[in-house]
Amino acid sequence: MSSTGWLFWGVFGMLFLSMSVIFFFLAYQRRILKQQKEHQQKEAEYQQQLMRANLLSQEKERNRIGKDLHDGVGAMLSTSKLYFRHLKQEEHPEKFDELKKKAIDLLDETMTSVRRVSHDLKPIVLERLGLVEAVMNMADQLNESEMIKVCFNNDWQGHMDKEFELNWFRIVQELLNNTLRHSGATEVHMELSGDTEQVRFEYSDNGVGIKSEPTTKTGLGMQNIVSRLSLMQGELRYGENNTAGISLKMFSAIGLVKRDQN
Amino acid sequence: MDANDLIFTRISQASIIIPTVIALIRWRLLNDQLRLLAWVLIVSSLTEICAFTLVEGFKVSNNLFLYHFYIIVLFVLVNRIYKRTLKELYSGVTANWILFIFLVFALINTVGFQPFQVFNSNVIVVAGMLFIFYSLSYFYHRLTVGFMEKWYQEPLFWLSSGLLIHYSSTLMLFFAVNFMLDKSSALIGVSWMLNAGLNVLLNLFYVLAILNSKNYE
Repeated sequence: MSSTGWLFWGVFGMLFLSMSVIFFFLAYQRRILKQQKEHQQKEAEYQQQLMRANLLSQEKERNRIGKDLHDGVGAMLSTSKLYFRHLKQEEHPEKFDELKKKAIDLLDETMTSVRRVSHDLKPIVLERLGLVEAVMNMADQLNESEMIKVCFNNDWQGHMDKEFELNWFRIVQELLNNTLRHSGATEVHMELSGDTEQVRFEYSDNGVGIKSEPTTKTGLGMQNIVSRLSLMQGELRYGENNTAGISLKMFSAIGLVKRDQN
Repeated sequence: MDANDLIFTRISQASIIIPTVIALIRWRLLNDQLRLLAWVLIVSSLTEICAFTLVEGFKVSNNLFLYHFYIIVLFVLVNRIYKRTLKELYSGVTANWILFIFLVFALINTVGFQPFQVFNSNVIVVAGMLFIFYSLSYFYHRLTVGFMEKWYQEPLFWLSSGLLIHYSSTLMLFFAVNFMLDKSSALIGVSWMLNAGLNVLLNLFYVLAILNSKNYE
């Protein structure tokens, strides 16, 4: 090849090389941007799913409260009204006392029902004694029923905002509810630990477990747990023990009150 | 250089006027960084006009001293542009050190090795390599720090592309011509034509950079 030929090939080779660098840059950037967009889209879909689960859960809770009030409290108040209608001074005293006692018993029952509905909305033990006592109370109630053995260990000595206590309480409620309804477990182990910087909660049972990690297609209960954790900027990890039952670890560093702020 | 080569060379030299005029018209739309690029164009245009006037008007046989000053001013301006652009990649001190070392090198080269009457190829080669380094750093910076969805609206993308293509090719041209044993007039003519073509290409990239000035963030 002549010198002129070499010169042409050399210069055009370098031209081609430098343009290849630019095209590589553009192609690589395009690929990364595409991946970023896909990731953002998935994240948006997931958030939407969590929001939907949250709304559905609220709606379900409202329906349950509505049903409790209508079928329980409403029916009892109607019966009480009926008793009061029949209460007349000229009635025979024995009959009068009997109707009065029935009406008062029914009103007591109504008050108990209202208290139960109210307790479901905002557990009094949580309000008065805090998260640890409330979870202990739940465990005790289940142990008393003798349907399941619930073991709860607490190593956490920190303090938490009320709002976040309620979130953790609902998570525990939801987990126990899932275990009771779906797992067929006979034992549940719960452990609350951490310090003033982070709170950790571990939950395991010996039931049938779940097939995979939570996705957008998991149940409403599990989505609620993830949604509540995400509100607390928390994290959910599946335990390594997959032989039987479920094993979960949850972490959050939000809503903790430092000791000197007490 | 035959008549055709001379015409090509003159056209390529004159082509710097186009981006310069566009830059002056759009001066108000240019931010500080692009005004530095506009100064690159103004200095390049003035150098070409002076070089042409000296040779054609005053019949001065050697106008190479102009390029000793031109390359220094060009390097200072480009260094300042990339100092701001790559501030997240390299510290300002690094850019200042590069500039300082380059200036010392250019001074030593002019005083000791290639005086004003000689073409300052050493300094031009080093400047070209540093321009390639800046361009590649810009692309790397973009991949690591911030992506551009509309890359074609980014003036610095066009400037970096232009510098990379131009200086990598002209360096190749320079080495090929200098190290080839056969320095026939045909080879010299082709090298002048290639150089002229690459100059026009660089000026085209300057135009694209200046035209996208309003999109600059």
